[in-house]
Parts: sequence; C-alpha cells; structure tokens
Amino acid sequence: MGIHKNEKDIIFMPDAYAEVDPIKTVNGLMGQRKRWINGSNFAFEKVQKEMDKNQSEKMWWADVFLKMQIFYLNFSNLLVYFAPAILLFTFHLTMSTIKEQYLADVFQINDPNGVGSIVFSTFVNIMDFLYAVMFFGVVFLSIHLTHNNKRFIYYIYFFSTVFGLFAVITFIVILVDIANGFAKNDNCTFIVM
Amino acid sequence: MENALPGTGVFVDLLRYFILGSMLFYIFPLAIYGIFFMRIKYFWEIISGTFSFLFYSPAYLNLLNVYALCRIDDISWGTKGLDAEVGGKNANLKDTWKIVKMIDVAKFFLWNVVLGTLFIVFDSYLIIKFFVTLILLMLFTFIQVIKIIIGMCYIIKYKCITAKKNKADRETPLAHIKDPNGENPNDG
Repeated sequence: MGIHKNEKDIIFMPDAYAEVDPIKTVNGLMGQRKRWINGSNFAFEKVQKEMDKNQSEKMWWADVFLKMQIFYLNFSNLLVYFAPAILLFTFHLTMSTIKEQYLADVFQINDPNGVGSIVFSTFVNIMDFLYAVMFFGVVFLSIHLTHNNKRFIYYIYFFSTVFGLFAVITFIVILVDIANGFAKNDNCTFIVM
Repeated sequence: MENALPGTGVFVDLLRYFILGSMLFYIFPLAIYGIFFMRIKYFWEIISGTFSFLFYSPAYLNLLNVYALCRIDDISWGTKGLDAEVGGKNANLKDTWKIVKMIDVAKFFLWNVVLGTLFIVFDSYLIIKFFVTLILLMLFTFIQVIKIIIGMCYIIKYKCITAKKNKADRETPLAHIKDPNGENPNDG
C-alpha cells in the first residue's frame, strides 16, 4: 500500500523479461521456502499490527483496498493452517468413493465372515490411519531433522510422491464421479452416499 | 441411502455444478488472455501444466508449510558457516524461541487433529457431511473467483493503458524521443 500512497501503481506486463537463478536441489528448495513462508508471515503480522497507525488521508480507497487484502490474506492463511485436516477430509471422501464404486465388486462382501469383507469394511479407516501417521511423521521429522540432512530429503521425496499420487487420484475420481452423475442422472457418490 | 436428505436432487446438482464451475472458471482469464494477446499456445501449456500443479500442490501445502512452521526459530539465511558466529549471548534467546516454536507446533498439530477427527465423525451424518462439503467448496471457489477476477482486472487494465499509449503514439509518432537539437521531429 506504500505504492498507492506514493501515487505509484502496479501494472501487469506480459512481455516482461527477467533472468533468474533457480534452485536446483530439493534441500535448497526446502530452505528457500522456509525462509520465504516465515518471512512473509512475519511481514504480514507487522503490517496487520501497524495498519491503523498509517492511514492515508489523500487516497481513502487505498485503505479500503488494504483492509480487503488483509481480510483475504487472513482467510487464505486460515485455510493453509487447516490444510492437513481439509486434505484428510478430501482423502476420506475419495477413499469412501473408491470403496463404494470399485472395491465392492472386488471383495466378496456377501460373505460376512470372509477376509475380504473385513478388509472392505475397514478400508477407509486404514487409509485415514495411514494419512494420520504420515502427517505425524512429517511434523516429527521436520522438528528433528534439517533440510541439509540427506535422509530427510528421501523422506520428502517419499511423502511428496504419495501426496501427489493421492491428488491425481482424487481429481480423476471426482471427474469420473461427476460424469457418472450426469450420465445416470443420479447422486454423485463423492458428495452424497 | 437414497432419499435420505429431503430435496437432495437440487442440492446435489448445485454441488455438481459448483465443482465443475470452479474448474471451468479458469477458462475466462485464459480466453481473455488469448483474445487480447493472440497467444493461443498458452492454452495447451496451462492444460498440460495442470497435472504437475495437481501433483505438487498437496506436497506444497502439507510438507513445505509444516516444515516452515517447525523451523520458525531458525533465522539463518541457509548459507553454511557464514552465520555461525551468532551464539553465546543469544543462547538464552534461542531457547526461548524454541519453546515458543514448540507451543506453536503443538497448537497447529492439535487443531488439525481435532478438526480432522470432527470431519471423519461428521462423515457418518449425511446432512452434516453435505453441508461441510458445500461450505468447503464454497470457500475454495470464493478464493479462486477472487484471484481470477483480480487477475482479469489487471489484464484489462494493462490492455487499456497500452492501447492509450499506442493511440498517443499514432497521433504524434516518436514524440517520446528527445531530439538533441531541441527540434520536434514531427515538424520536419
């Protein structure tokens, strides 16, 4: 907002040219993002604290924009803060859909005492438990190891691959589910079971 | 569990269109970009980039943010050995920061565990699950729509400014170039 107070403006330049020196290792990326995320969070807190001290008299709309931006950033910070729980919810819904739509045929649920039936009924719980273990592992490893540790990077590779596969699977399941819903004019399994 | 929620059909249709709309809403800025700047090749770049974006976004949200939170007391620049002199006097301060960090991480962990447990418990109740899904979808769509609208505003603003400049240039070509002799090149 200092930009607006100094009567300058930001514009979008599609043909801008810049040379960058990108990071080439995952260790470097973890360190860089740690610095950027924490730095931007501290800067945001400072701006939010001292927002009311520096009010511009000339451009009242600058303050309105600032307040809107602060609200929006608080809102997205909240979502980022609760991202693991929200991802768990998405994971849970996806696994329930997979269970209902695809696994019901594979396992013999007609046999109530069979092994397939037990696996089928506890499939979602097992997956939720695995997610919880992964989240706990990420927090534990982040506290105890630094980004320069080689073992930590291997863990990061593993976790990011699993999370990435999960995201792609969720995307495909949602798309297939919506297509099924439109085709059969029926409820989507992902949303309402 | 058919017809468990009265009037489900309408709401489920709403949710279905919500998901599709939040995906298809990205076409608007792309279309504006393509029409204004005549660069259609970006369509393919963005569509093919969607999969890599999908692949790394949960890792970004879960791993990098958690790592940043767990290293909030680490103010080093990442350069090896250059900032190793700090210590001695600041050792007490470091311990204090470590305790503050641990409290923050514990809070983060507990809040997420509580919310995740609530989500899973609510999953058994159809109506609550439905509304939780609706609210989460609305939050995400709200963020996307705000981002996209502001981005489109910037594109249109840039186009207006450059169009104005081009018009001015057309009326008085080379007006921005200063003549060393002090004469206006348009006169001659």
